[in-house]
Parts: sequence; structure tokens; C-alpha cells
Amino acid sequence: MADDGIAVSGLTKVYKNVRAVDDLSFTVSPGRVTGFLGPNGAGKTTTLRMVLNLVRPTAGTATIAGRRYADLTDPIRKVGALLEASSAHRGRTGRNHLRILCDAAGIPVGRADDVLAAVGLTPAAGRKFKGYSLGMRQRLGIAAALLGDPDVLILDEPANGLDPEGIRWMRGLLKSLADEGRTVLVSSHLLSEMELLADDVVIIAAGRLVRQGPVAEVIDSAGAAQMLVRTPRPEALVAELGAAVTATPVEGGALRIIGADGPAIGAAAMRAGAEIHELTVERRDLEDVFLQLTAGKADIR
Amino acid sequence: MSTTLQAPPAASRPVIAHVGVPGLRLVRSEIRKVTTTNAWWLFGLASLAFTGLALFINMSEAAEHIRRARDTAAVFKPGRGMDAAEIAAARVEFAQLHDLQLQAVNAAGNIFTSGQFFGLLLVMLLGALVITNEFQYQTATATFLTTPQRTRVVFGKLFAVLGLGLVFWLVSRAVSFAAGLIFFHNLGLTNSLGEWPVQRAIIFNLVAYLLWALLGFGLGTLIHNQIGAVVTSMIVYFGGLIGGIGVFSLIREYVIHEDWVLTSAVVMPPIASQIMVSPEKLYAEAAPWWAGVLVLTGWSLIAGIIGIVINRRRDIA
Repeated sequence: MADDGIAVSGLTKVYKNVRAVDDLSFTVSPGRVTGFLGPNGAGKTTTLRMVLNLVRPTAGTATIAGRRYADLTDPIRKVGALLEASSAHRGRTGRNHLRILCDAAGIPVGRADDVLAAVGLTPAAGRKFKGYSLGMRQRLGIAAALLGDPDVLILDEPANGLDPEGIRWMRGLLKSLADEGRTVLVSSHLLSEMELLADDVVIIAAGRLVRQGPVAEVIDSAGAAQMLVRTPRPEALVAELGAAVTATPVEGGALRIIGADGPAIGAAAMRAGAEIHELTVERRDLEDVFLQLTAGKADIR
Repeated sequence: MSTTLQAPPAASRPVIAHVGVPGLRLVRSEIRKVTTTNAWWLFGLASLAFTGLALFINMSEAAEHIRRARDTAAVFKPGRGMDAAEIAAARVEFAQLHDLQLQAVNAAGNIFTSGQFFGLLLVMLLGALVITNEFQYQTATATFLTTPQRTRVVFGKLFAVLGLGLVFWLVSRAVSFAAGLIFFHNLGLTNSLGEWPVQRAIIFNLVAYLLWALLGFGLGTLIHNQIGAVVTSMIVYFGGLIGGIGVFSLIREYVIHEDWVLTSAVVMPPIASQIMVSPEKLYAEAAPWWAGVLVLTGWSLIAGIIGIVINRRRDIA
């Protein structure tokens, strides 16, 4: 891949008796936010750490803009990463933590103050890391990821510890970074948040790829849409719709119909002479689809 | 009239300059790591305190020896029941104790290298902390993201550790120089800094600071667990001397009745260090000083190289 995308191919990590990641392949495109989803222990963190050369793959490759992370010149100018265990020395100030990274990457130390301002940590810049709240630590990690103004961002559970305002801030930040043409890969448990934030999703379970694609497609692919119909003559409508359609009564006298879309139900109702009082698409959300796709694969291994 | 369609303005992205000399960036980063936490000044204070204490002990001892050497009224009296050989040995010792020049040189050697015993331990522990801190505080992730070539990180740390050893030596020596010069001036004696045995003691004092820092660093590279590395360092430092002498003497006594057994005790780092800094032979069968240098360097290299090889493959999680 010549652009700034991420390509994971056949990636596998075997620990003593667990295949943490099992022949995993997916791609992440620039200019979009890609959500990386999976139940606990699915291998998300291990995958991200393999992409970043922190964990050695048993097999397979991961490239960023066509190159392995270890082969990038000035990696933090290309890739910014926030990982769960991204930590700092307890006795060191946030500003000094960033300055150390600046030194090692050949970035002017003044950049530390720029990114601290960008994540709203300026007032705490001179405070020691041990005095930081979880949310402040997370912001410092994001500041570190932004230090080299990278084209690619890889963030593991960035919303951890953030308050609602912080989560909204993060959503805006990541969307604007993607709008600037950057590649943004974000892992998260927060599915409702992901539905708001992500353009694409990569869903894994038990170390294997379950589904990849744009959010809407992934939701649609999980099964036909459900329709909710309210009519005074349900029997006539069901008879007209035929045997290919399942209809189940729900509370309040409505019918949930799977296997027919709006126009088909409308036409059948007209033929059957059944008055329609309500016809709505029951949208499935990412959470439904995620739980359906990963059902039975989320066991602790 | 025509309108020109313009692309939306590109988001302004900062221009970030490239600064620093590529090889030195990592050293600079490592030095900042040391100076931005409390360890350096806590260890520095400890080093100063031990230097001060050692100066006090060494100067009182030297004052006593010099007073005795200056006592021209003393005459040699052989003890009762001594045979001729014992009397001769006692006469030589008496002559040495009353040789003012010799006593002044010995005193200078001790005073100008004061604080060595704990100073070496402190730089060794600092050397171990420089690398184990990364794992203790999980900063290894950030470090290796910035520099995925892990061996380069280790070398950056290596130079920082040697620099640290040098600084600790300099400060410790500056204090003992000031104290020593005042001490000898006060006694109206030469400070003996022109004498080779004194110069040698000071030079090998520096070599010892660097080698012990290196050995601590090697142990830290090998043992990433901070407590494990610190405890191992302490055992090597304190246990190696007493245990080493004991074990090698027992082997000489009961297993292999050869003198080379005692000579080979130099493989214990603290014995190697003592052999290196002593102007005279530490004991009759002691190995030469350069064997001490080789042993200390060798241990550091072995620990460091195994550590680097493991580190290259290790998963950082």
C-alpha cells in the first residue's frame, strides 16, 4: 500500500497455549476513522502491539504506508500511538515526559507545550505524573501520540477514563484528524461511541477477523432489516406476505416482520385490504450486530 | 466572469524542525530521563554524605599516622622473645611507620579517593535503575515507539550511564580534593599529588566508577525486574568480596591445594575492583591490576550482551 494505510496480513501470535491472534488480515484506509472492535481477550491489544513492533508476531506481517514500523525513519513523525500501558515515570512532570520523547525523536522540545495545549493539559504541565487523574493520563498519552504530527494514529481504548465531555472532545479530535486525510485506527469497547465515531469497523473475536467494512454495511450484512407494522388485520397481512416472511407479535399489538421491506409490506397490505397504522424500520445498532457476530466467541481463553 | 473553484484550505499542519545530532539524540534523551526525576540528587546526596564520612575517618587516621611518623623521639625496641627474623620484620615496619614521606603518600592516596566504597555501589545501582525504570514505570513502550531499534536505545543509555559515573566521580573527587588540600596545608605537608602512587589511585578510582556503573547497567539489561536487579547488584557488591574470599580460601584449603586458586578469586567483581585500585598486591597470590579491569569489563559485557539479545526479541506488553 503506497498511501498511509495500515495493512495487516496473516498476523498470528501464539503464546504458550493460546493463539491470541490467529491469521488475521485487514486493511485500514486513510482519511477515515476505523474502529477496531472485539470482546475482551479477542487479541486487539496484541494486534496493535504487533503493528507497532512492540510484540513479535509468530507469523504474518503488518505494514504502515507499506513499511514495517521498525523500518520507518523517524517513526513518531509518521505514526502516533496511544497504548493502554503507555505510562510515564511517577515522579516526572508531564512536560518533561514529552520533552524526553522530543529529544529522542529530534523534535524541538517546544513542541511538548504545543501538544499539551492541544489536549488541554497546559495547567498540569508542570505537575508530576503520579498526581494525574486517569483522564489526564489519557490526555498526556494522546499528547505524546500527536508530538510528531503523524499521518497515522493508532489508539488503544482512548476513551478509557475520560468523562463525557472528554469523550466528546476525543470524538471531535479524531474526526478532524481523519478529515485532514490521516489514518485513524481506534480500539474500543464502547460500541455506541464507535457508531458515532467510526466510518469503518474491523471486528475480531478469538483472534480472528469476524467482519470488516463501513459501519452501515457491517450492520446490514448481519441480517435483513426488521420492520414494525401496526394494523387492525394482522392475520390478513401475514397471509398475504407468504411463508418466506417471519412475523412475530410484539407488545402493543404490533408485528415484527423479518424478510420483507417497506414497499413489499405496503403492497401486501393493499392487496389484503389491511389498513396500515404504523410502518417503521427497526434499525439495528452496532451493539446488536456486534453481539450477534461475536456470540459464543467471547469466552475467556 | 468566471469563478475559480478553490480546494478547501488545507488544515494548517505544523512544521516540525529536525533538531539534534542523530547519534546524540538518544543520549540526550536518556540524560534528561535521569535529571527529571529525584533519583540523581538523592543518590548524589548519599554519595556526598558517604564521601564526607569517609573523609572524616580517613583524615583522622592520617592525622594519627602522620603524628606518629613525625615523632622523632620514638626509637625501635624489639619485643621480648622475638627471634632474629621477627626482629628484622618489626624493624622494617617501624621504619615504615616513621617514614613521613611514605605516610604522607599513603594518606594522600586514601584521602583523595575517599568515599569509594559506597560511591561505587551507588553508581552501580544508578546504572541498574537507568534501564529497569523503563519496565518498572512502563515507559519502555513510549521509548521503543520513538526508537524501535532497541539496541540503539541500550547504547544511548550506556553513554548516559558512563557520563553519570564520570559526574559522580568528579563531584566526589572535587569534595575530597578541597578537603585534602586544606588538610595537608594545615599540617604543613606536601599534598603528594605529584607522586605516582597517588595519581594512580585517583586514575583507577575513576576507572572503578566507570566499570561499576557499567556492571550495574549490564545487570539491569539482563534483569528487567527492578527489585531483582537491585538485590542482585547488592549481593554482587557485598557478598562477592567476603563470600569470594571465603569460598576460594576453602577450595584452596580442602579441594585444590594450589596457589592459582587464590589468584583466580579475581573473577569475583569486588575482588577484581580491589585488586585494580590497590597500588600494592592485595595479597601475595593476587592477580595483576589489569586482570581486575578485564574481569569487571568482562562481566559487564556478558550481562549486557545477553541482555541486549533477550531485549531484541522480548515482547513489550
